Amino acid sequence: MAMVTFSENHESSLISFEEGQALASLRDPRGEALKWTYSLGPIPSSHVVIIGLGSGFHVEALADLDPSIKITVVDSRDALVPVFRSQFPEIADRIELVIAENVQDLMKSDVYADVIANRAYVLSFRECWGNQVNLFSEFFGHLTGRSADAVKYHFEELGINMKALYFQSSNLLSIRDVLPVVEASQAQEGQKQIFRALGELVK
Amino acid sequence: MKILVVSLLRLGDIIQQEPLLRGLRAKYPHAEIHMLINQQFASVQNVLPGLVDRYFFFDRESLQRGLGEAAYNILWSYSQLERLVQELSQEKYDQVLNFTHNKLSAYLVGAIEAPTKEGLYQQDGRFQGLENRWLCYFNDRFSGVEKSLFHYVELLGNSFDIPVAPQVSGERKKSKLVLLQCLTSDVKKNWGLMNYRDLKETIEATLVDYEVCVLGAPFERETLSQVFGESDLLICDLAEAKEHLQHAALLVTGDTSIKHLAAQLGTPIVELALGSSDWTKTSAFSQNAEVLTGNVPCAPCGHSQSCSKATHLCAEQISVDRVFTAVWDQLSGKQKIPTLNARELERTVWGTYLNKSHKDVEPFYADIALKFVTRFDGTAVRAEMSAWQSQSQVYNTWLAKIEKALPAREVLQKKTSLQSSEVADLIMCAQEILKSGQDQAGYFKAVVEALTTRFAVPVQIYDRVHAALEQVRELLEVRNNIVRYLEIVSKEGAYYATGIGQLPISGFEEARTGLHRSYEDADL
Repeated sequence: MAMVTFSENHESSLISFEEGQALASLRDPRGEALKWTYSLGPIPSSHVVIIGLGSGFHVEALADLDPSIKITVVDSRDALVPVFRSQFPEIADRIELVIAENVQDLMKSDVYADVIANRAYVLSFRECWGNQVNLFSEFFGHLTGRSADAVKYHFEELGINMKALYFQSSNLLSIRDVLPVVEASQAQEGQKQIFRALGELVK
Repeated sequence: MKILVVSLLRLGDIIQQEPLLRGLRAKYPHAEIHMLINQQFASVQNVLPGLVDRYFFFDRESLQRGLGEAAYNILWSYSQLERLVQELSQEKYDQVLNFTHNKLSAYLVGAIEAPTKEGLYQQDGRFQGLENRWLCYFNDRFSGVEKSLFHYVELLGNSFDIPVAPQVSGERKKSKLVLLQCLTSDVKKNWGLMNYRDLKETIEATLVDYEVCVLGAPFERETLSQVFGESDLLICDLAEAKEHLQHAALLVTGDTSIKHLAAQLGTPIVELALGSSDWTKTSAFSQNAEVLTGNVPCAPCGHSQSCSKATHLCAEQISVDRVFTAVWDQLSGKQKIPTLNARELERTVWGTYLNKSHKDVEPFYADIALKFVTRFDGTAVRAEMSAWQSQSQVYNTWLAKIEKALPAREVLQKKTSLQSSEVADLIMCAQEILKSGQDQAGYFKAVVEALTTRFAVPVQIYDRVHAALEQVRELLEVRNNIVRYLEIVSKEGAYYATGIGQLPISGFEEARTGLHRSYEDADL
């Protein structure tokens, strides 16, 4: 388990550290979070998943930007949670926090099924990932449905048999990887037509 | 009755389809007509009043964002599109008409549940709709720089059996406003702002009571301001542009959506068809339009490529004086006299061929010839006759040569591979046709394509060429018959007997004022 510590900055904000690495800007964590939030553009979904809790400033900024949006935060470091709740009490109840130490934990959670089924929008605030880059990248792939396992999950939902599917599991998959498999499957013709139409949009 | 029209095209194309929608409305006056268009061109609703009862939107940008950005679930776009398809299927349309003619729309129409689908759509693993001869012609001629004898609107109208007619010139407007639409969506279609400025000055100096203004979209203001004064500009959206066009005496424009809007309103137009703009296919569909083109071999160029020449040759061919002359003619209401040329004959031949539901259906050639002679002067037809007959001979010679050179199917079936030398005569025929440049109407297009394609199995050459020759034979039969009937009708007039009664070739009917032709009563 990674060593997580906290320190106050000049504004008396609590900044979290993982093995000495700050999980937010020390000088201006709120400015950094706002900049990230504005860079996102319009949010296409009513449910957003953020990978990485870090010091929580980016979560607060996003919650402020759209008070109606449902926010789920996924992290592996449970030590961050109490500090987040104490530093941002006004939004703490609004945010769904999920702690998963590995991919298996994540996939077993109800949140995973919900995120996949509702095609939630998944954001990553990489400044707070610290030493968890590899694990969080995997989380990202699974939660966006772009890992081989997640595609399998989707295909079962659509009634598509994907036994013949051999994806490179380390890569994030795109619709172009999926198209040949759909074409070769026993999927309904209507489903295939929609996939073919999408294929035309990525040419 | 409920009809869905799928038109996933750009703004100008959707506006250009207005005569089709008008024709559809006239054909089914009580039908509920819905239209699926790209979300980004939703503003087109404001310029197609009364033709469409409800619009659905295809949010292409969002779908592409969902497909291209990793933050989206891999099936986010799938879900969005599935929802749209379900929504459209729940409308329980009696007919879905695909005006778009691309693969994307074909798949989409294939996914929508409806008892009747027309246009291109995919079903049972293959594209359907191309058995319609008009749609097949559209498919062959509209993909690239292929020549077409028919306008886009004519082709779609015939493909969907929708009567369409170009906007006719109404009563001349008393307006003294001339509008210039200087900028197009593609730099190679532009005539040049300096030319437009000179034209404006020429019009204002010569026609002193006329006012010349420059139309532009808000994003074009900066560019236009470099040449024109702020008081000359009419910066507006599409609906406002329509207002201005309604009150204008004339529009001078390149290939723009504004051009199609003016055509829809019957506003006189001087169109400058430059770059990839092909006047034969997508010029303003209006009787009030005068189209000017540059006579250069590279025009029209491909849509996706930039101009390959050192200077903009097609634009340079069109002088300010030439445009001003056209402006003058349009403003003075000079009537266009239909001119007879080989293209008119070829349009008649191809139109007759494409209208045939089956190769064994015999068209009523006498009627076709009479209508042709009525439209164009009989003397002019007689003057062209020998050239048309000579051209028929050339075509017939080519056909005979290819038929002679084509090896028997049984011979090719036995071969596993084929050397070029074994079909040298056939290849020579294709080269002769290409080099001659005489097949402007594309009678041998399919044959030449078949002969210049590589095939895995030799017998495929036979099958492709044989099928293409079937089409050529049918086309030439139509051509020969039309030319023959034109010769009869134009030489003897519409009357084969002179003297008392003057019996017309196509029958007659008695009217109060005397004897008049009746093409319908031809049985007599």
